Amino acid sequence: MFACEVTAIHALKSGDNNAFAWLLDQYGGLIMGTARRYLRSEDAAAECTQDVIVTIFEKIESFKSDGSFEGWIRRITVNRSLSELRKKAVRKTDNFDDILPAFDETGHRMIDKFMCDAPSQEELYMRAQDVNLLHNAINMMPDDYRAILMLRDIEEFTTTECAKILEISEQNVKTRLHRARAALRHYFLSLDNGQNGERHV
Amino acid sequence: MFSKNSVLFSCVAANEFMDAYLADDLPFFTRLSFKMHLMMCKRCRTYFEQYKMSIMALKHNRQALRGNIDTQMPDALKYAIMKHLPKR
Repeated sequence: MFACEVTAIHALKSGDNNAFAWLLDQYGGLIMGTARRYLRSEDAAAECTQDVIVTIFEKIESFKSDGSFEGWIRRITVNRSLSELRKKAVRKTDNFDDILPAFDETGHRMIDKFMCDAPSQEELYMRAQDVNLLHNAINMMPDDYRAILMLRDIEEFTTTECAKILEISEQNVKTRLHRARAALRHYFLSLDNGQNGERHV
Repeated sequence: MFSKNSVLFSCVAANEFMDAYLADDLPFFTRLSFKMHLMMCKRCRTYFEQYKMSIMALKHNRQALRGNIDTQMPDALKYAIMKHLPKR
């Protein structure tokens, strides 16, 4: 339909409906997949996807050709998804004490269940190859921890970009990321490799 | 950050510096102190290995987790979006 992306973007700016059909074919999956990861609901992801397309329609003139179009779309999708998450405000990190590491009064690390029966290096390596296990571990996390993990470690936004998107300080981004990674470790180890149920230690 | 009685790290301090260590973002002597703490503290060493591996797993599977390959937008949704695009 279009010789290259530059031509398609030009057509989008002209309001060419064929260009929007191209956009849905090329990037619809990316937008839906991203929204689904943040919102964890097919209906919410579909609704968010529609909102993203309308946003692209309205703001296409502001896209600068020297930037990455995919990156621009990804940023819009992430912002929209996080905005929806804030509205729903479910699964906040109110009580996360049993997942984060604990220390005694002298500052020594306390033993948790994964240290008593620590998986071997080989088992850790096998878990690291299992995308479904990771996917499930991420989905088990509270929304704001999942969001920072996806922004920073999966979408690869910088700390500064994350701070802007989440409207928090850069220090707050680092603190939240550290806790999210600690939570990831917990869920990564607790899920049963291969069966994706709870691993009983 | 350092324990009261020693220039070496406490477990609390080591925990705080894990991300910076992984990002290679620590000054030389802080990095050295962190590594020495891991050598001496089995709990932190075990925790750190698990922490590091879970992050590496995430980064190794980044593309798959982004879902670029296997997510398709349903045709019905495409049709609905095209039908309701605002007019310029």
